[in-house]
Amino acid sequence: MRKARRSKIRIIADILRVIERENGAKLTQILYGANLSYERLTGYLNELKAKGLIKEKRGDEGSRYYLTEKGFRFLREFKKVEEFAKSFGIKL
Amino acid sequence: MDLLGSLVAFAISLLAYKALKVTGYKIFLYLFLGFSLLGIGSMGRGMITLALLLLPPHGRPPVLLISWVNLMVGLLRLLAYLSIALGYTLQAKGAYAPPIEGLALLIPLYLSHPLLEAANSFITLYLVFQALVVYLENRLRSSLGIFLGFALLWASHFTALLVMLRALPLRYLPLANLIYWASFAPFLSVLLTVVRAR
Repeated sequence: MRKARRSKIRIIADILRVIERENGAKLTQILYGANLSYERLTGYLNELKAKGLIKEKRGDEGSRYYLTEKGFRFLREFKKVEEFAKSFGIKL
Repeated sequence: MDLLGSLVAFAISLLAYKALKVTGYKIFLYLFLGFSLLGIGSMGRGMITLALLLLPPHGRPPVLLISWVNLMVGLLRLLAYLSIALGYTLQAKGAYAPPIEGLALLIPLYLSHPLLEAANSFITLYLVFQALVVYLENRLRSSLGIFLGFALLWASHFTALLVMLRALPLRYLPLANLIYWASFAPFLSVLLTVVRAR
């Protein structure tokens, strides 16, 4: 059976979830965790940074991405929205 | 009880509004409109009930106003159910979905009370069916809550309709109201599940 395409909001939530779970994640961790190509992921990361949902910290071992307060808030809201949508059978 | 029910309906419409803001999905707009209208209807009836119970005889609203409010409440409910049904229809891609948009054109036909109840029974039955399909698919407790809520709403409208058609004695009319108020309990449980989601 063909898998349904993920919506943009779902992809963003997946990225933020990986970062939250890892408590600050490297690019490769997000790449595998959110199941995205490098090009698409960098596009999304730039967008999320511009929206203030994540911040990037450069270190010796490369960059790590962290959720900002706004990012945590968005993820909390999203989980509620997801639960609400599920009760009505709405797939996000 | 009507006022409490309206609070639950408003809280659900607020969640739908939040979901609309986060996702931009049109479905949530219909849920927001539907539950807001349901809340406004219940609030209107609750206010009139309060006025009848609390005001002195000379300050009570006239009978004409009461019947007008009752008719408005019925119409608001009809619009509320139509809006929620439209939401279900939009998201039920591929699943069985009657052409609910066409039903909106029938509204002018349902201006007398028994017909209004018949329309409300018909649309809530559609909602019960859609909510049941969702529950059978995902088996989530919150989906069961939505199904039970709509099932009780349908039972309430159907009981009221049977009373109006004199298939049931008049003493069943309060029962219809009790069932209507009870329908907000499952919706409240869904609300609590969503609010507690982590």
